[in-house]
Amino acid sequence: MPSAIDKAVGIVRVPDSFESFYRRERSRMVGLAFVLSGSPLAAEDLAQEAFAAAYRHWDEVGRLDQPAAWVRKVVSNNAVSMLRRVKAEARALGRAAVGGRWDPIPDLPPASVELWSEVRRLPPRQAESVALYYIAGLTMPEIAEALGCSKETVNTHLRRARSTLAQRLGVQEEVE
Amino acid sequence: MTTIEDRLREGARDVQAAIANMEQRTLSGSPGRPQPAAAFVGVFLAVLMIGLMVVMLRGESASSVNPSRQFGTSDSAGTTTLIEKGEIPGAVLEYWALEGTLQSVGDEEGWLCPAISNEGYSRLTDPGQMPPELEVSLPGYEPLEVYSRDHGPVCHQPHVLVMLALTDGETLELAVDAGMTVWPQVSRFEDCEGCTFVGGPVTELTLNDHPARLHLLAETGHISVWWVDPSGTPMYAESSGLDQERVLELVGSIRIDPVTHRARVDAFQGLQMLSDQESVGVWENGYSRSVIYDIDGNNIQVTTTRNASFNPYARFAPDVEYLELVQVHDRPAVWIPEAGNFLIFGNGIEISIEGAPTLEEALALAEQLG
Repeated sequence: MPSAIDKAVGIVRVPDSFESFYRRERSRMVGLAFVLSGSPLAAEDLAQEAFAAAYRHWDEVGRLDQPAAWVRKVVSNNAVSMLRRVKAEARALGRAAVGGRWDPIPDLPPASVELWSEVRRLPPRQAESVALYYIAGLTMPEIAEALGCSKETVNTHLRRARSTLAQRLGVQEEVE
Repeated sequence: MTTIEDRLREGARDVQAAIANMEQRTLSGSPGRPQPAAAFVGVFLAVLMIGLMVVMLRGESASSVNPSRQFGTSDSAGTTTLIEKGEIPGAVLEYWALEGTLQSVGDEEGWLCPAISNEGYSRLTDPGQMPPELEVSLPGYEPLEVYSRDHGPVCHQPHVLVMLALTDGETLELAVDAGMTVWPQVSRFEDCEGCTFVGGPVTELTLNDHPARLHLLAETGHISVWWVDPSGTPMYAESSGLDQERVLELVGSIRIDPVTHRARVDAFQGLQMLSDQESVGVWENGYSRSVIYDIDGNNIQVTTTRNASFNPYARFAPDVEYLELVQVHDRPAVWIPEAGNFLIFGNGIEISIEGAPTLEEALALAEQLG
């Protein structure tokens, strides 16, 4: 959908070039994947995979009103899925008496490492809501659209996530 | 007093800063793999183009597992579509698709999540667009309960229902391919608000004339087989990164050991043996492959990325099909010819040797490096 400004001046929306889109969004996508996956290397791969998918369908994706939302969705879904596979893999490796490997998180203060580790322990929808809200900077309606649920549901996910996190991290849930 | 809101916002800033640092380091180039910033996007696009050409060339084989090519009949209600039906020992496997879901997103083939793979997402032009209601009815079964839309991880996702129905009519399990969002473990249901599985999580059945209790969940490229042996010991096996044909193959290969009464899954390759030494294997999960090497408890594990060709910084080739066990300085090592001539040492140290076309040359270089 063209924006109000586009309509007002009669501009036909021209799709972003993939390159400019990639340059602009890559860092944010990596950040989102980073929070959800806990691995910087995996985050890069997740972002790359999502961008690669977008590139293959850029004729369609590039004309969407929010191409970034499309890529975010792919990143988010794949990150959640990957995390599950990693856990399964870790269990299998445990059975095989082979130590698991997970990438360290560079340059992240210990408090943040703890925080995002707890976020990843949340139910996936809550973790996704938190990541999309705080990392991707989406609004409630945007998150609702991304997750395919109502704003009220997103609000519930966020509220429960904050409550759980506050309890686990031993901090206040709200300012009294 | 710090609130959780403060922590989250501060944590978000930390993440952005960490990512910015990581990007900066990446763009400025690491000592071993210089990567000029100006060439970064160009390199990515060039590699991407090559990767896409490979994908296109492989298109036919990849689509051979696409259930959309296997569409069969629709039931009278028009709400579900049988896409595949197969026999396994003691059971019939049926794959069903929710027609309403498929059509509502306007896919040209009426199939939203066309294959048990990540490809499904690439065909979604608007992932947020979903049907208002999901209805499931399967011929011969009572109306099935479906996850509510606003709760649980599967409600908004494309669905592929996998019904494993015993020949006596009992429903063994319903697994839902919900675009990678089904919980494979029963214990995790506690965290899945509103999730209700149709059919019992564990069902009695007979396989090869031996009793077993099997819990099968197949999701996107993932299969978990749970069973309880006669002693009551819960056991499970799992793998992922599997296409639909592979899932069928695995399900069909479940056997119960007549002596121990323990179930095993023939051809289950969660840890695939690549040689006669049991300590060498490849864990394949669809996203990455970990080459696991163990000699006398000296473990190394190297993860390769499936989409390495898309990643200018990936260190390993996407497919590792062949390993050779070698020794360098009397230390065990693994040689992966297809991975771009990398030599991996058994003590966890990885040394990459680029441009070495043969093992002998790589070994010679490694010797020089000490």
